[in-house]
Amino acid sequence: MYYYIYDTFLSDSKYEKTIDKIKTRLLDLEIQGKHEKLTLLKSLEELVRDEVKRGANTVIALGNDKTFLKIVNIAAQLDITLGMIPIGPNNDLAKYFGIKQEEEACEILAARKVVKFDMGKIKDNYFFSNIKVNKNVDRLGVVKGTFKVLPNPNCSEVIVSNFYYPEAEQTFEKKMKKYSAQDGKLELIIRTKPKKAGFFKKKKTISPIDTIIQSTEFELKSFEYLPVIIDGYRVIKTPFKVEVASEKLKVIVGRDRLKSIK
Amino acid sequence: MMFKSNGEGEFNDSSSQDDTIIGQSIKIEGDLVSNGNIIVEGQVTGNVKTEKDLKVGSAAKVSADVNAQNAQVSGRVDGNIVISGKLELAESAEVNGDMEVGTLEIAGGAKFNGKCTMNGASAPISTAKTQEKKQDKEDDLDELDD
Repeated sequence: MYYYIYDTFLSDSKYEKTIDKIKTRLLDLEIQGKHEKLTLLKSLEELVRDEVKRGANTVIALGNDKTFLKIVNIAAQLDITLGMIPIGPNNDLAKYFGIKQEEEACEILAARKVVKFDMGKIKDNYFFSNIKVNKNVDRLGVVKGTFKVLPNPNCSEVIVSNFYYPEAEQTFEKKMKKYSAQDGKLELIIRTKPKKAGFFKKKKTISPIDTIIQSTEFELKSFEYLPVIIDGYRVIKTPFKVEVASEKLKVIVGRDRLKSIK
Repeated sequence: MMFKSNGEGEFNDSSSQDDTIIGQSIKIEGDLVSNGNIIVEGQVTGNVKTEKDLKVGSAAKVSADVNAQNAQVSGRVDGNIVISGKLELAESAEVNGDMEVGTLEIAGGAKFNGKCTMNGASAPISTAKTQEKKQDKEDDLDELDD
């Protein structure tokens, strides 16, 4: 059984027509199920948990990257299949999964090509894209087995990445080409502060990658509690151990997905 | 050739083994053990051991004993080096420690203070053997022609 979850921003009247079209297309394709709109008062994880108890085995996130990333934790915990119908801007993940916008995504759901991805795991919580420390980075130590990595003040970000997805395809860094979320490993990426652009250069520059270390687990330690952002929306504090959970997340993908996705 | 000569630090071997890039803005303390290639551009204190190739960049400072299959050193290494294959010391390299290598290539200007033992690894021996075989084949062909 399918369970469709609509992100809060879709309550805006400008999305009404799109949602109607999607619902009609889902009816045509006979992949119906329960539809639910998220509100600030409803906890997404509780809703999914209740619906899985009632028999749902596939959850479809309608919205953008954030909607998808908010749902991955519970999807991995309950071992359900996750799909998405991208609506509106900020849908980079969908592009990499080969899922087209709005109505066309319904056909991809109907085709149901399921791919398994690794997840990052911290205690009993999972993340899909990355965890990031971007403040007081030089007060952090990352332990990998027999050695310790100590970033200096020139570093801007320490990231433990599972699925690398830059905001735009043009900014896809060559160095990251060989890493995927299906290799059973996590990547520790350390970025340095970007060089200051000239007076006339208004182009936004991304912080260059300085260090890449692969491992199945890392320990993030610091003398004081440092905030770590998980998947861009949750925050936890150091210290903790992060490890890879192989083939933990099942996602419905399209034919035009990234070549590196098997 | 162990690494691409473009200086971008890319590996020729794109296998599934761990590839480790230690950047200029970090410091590593402890035993850096890997089963893949390692590029060091920053500081390492402890030991460095890999079953594959090692590259020490010009800005790197390695205060450690090093053990690798092949290595290319352009920076500073304070410690003993054991390389089963080929060790290349670039002109900016500075090595303070003993070396045990298969084959050695030192560029003019490189500094080396220590003892060097060359055990003649498989690579040069096999090359010599192949050359001998080649020569034998050529001789055989000459005899046939006569």
